[in-house]
Amino acid sequence: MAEIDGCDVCVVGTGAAGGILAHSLAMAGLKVVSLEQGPRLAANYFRSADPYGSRKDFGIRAHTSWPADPHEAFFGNALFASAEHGSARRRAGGFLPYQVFAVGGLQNLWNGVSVRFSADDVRGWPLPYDDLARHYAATERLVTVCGTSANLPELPDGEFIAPKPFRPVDDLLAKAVASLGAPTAHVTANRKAINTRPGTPSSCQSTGGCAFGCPTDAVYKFSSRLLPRIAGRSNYSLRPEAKVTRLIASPDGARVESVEFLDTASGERHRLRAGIVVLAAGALESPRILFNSASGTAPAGLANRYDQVGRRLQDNPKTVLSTSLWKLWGKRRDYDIGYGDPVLIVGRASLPDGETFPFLCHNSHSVPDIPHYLAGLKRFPPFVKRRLARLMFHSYLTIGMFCGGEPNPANRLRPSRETDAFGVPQVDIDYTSSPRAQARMDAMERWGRRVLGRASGTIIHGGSSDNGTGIHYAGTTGMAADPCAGVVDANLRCHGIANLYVCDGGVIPQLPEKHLTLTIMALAHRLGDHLAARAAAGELSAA
Amino acid sequence: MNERSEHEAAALLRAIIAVSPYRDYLSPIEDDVVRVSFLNHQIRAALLAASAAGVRASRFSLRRGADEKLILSFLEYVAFASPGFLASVGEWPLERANG
Repeated sequence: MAEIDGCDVCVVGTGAAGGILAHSLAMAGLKVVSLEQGPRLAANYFRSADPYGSRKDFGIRAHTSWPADPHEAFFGNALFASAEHGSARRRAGGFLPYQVFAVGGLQNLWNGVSVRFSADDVRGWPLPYDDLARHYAATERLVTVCGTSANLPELPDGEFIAPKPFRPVDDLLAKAVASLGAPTAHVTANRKAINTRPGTPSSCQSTGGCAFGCPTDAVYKFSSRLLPRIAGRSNYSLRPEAKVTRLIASPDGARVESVEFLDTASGERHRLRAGIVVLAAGALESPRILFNSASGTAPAGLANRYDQVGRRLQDNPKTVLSTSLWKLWGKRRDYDIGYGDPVLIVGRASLPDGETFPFLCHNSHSVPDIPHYLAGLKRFPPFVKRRLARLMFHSYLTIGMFCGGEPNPANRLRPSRETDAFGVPQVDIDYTSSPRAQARMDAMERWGRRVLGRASGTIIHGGSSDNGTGIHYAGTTGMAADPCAGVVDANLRCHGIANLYVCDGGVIPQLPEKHLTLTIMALAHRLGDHLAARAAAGELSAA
Repeated sequence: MNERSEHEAAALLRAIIAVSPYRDYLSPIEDDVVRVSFLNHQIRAALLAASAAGVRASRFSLRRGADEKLILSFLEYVAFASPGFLASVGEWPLERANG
């Protein structure tokens, strides 16, 4: 076991939170080490090694499967960790954990949607909304978010640059929503962390889809935007392929003394002493590290005295619908395809018992050079398929609708007897979809079908799930003032441990219908200020 | 599987392309289609199995087994992702999509 030079702050993970935090702390002058269990992807990875669409090998990779559900194509990305490398084993019919182990984490495949939670969304959190709003603004300036102000209380405005314009398909969708006459439904420009300013090296080049990796780095991610600003500083170092196996606490369990990690390239184990440790490894991996740090004084895992670690696992229940709009049949494209999903819709759907609930919807329309539409044409002979494929080529529209998660304590991560490819214990996932979540997905589907019908939709291909495919994991190290109700306090510090923090989706106690990534980044920015203040007050050495 | 069986499977695929209803799209990119078919685990296995079973291109049909269906759906997919088809809908080269 080799001990390496200590640091003020060790940040575990380089995704949404870890990147913002490392940048913030390094710029504040603290000695920071980032540990990332995956490698650093080559700068041209999304241009050459695995470009979007059919540009390389017709979009076919070694593990592409036939026939594939069009809505499942995204989940075959080679960057997603396998069951042997991920935090949790996959069980048939169970929760599906999607993780990316590489510098930048899941943000390598991030679609970029960046929406603020509202004051109502964080009611019950142990922090004032005004404080969070201040850090939303700072984060938006840091990562650059395009959008337009809509003046909707349920969707607070931010600091935006201009978005890409709506296209004919977006106008049809917006008109269809307006035709419902529902006062609770609003259409605005999607809010995405994309550099839409023209003429810069990282300007959006309109490839039509962000979630397969941006070839021009127009979508924010740590490795291309903030890491270059701190990579050369003497007080910052990044160690890729450094898999944290456990945290070592003081004999009384009141503080963490060091971080043990495995160099997955060399197989060597190392120990890093740190004044502060921040777990920013995601809502699945951070609890796993806490479980694996069990000791005599913390037999159920670190920061788990009240059996709260791993509980309340949530994801946004989602419904995805795709169709071909007959009003666009035979049309050639004379417009900028943009980033594919410039429309954002906020709305409310109704359950059979009369209750209404909010949902968020965005669209997708791009050049279908990967012919997923063939699944809908399978009954036709080849000569008819050719004609229909040409006629309908620019007519496809997909909408995705998301509603809030449910903080059910029984949906949880537990220590597992199984280990990953490096011999590190994984976690098991207990997860049951509730009848209410299913009812909400059904209600969103009814709403979506009405809208697509009014937009001239034809055959609608649909699907719903809330078992991990939203990849908005939250709740497993929840924020609560009461240590019996959560794992971290208002400053994201683990209850009862002086120098251990968690900052990732896990700290969000209840998922609203909105995408959580901007909130994770704003919380990281806020934590950066908190830790810098502790350092300025001379508290780090005493931590 | 040895080199000979891969060679025979590739020959079978080329023969299927020659009689495919999409041969106008597939023939100009035949070498790429064969290369990609062996890159994909599922299609490679299906081709080797069909070849080992002595299936002939002229008798290839959707009414036959799972391997044949898989190979035909792969070829159809490639046809509609080919430069020939994308040019017919005004989207080739794909860089034109960028703006």
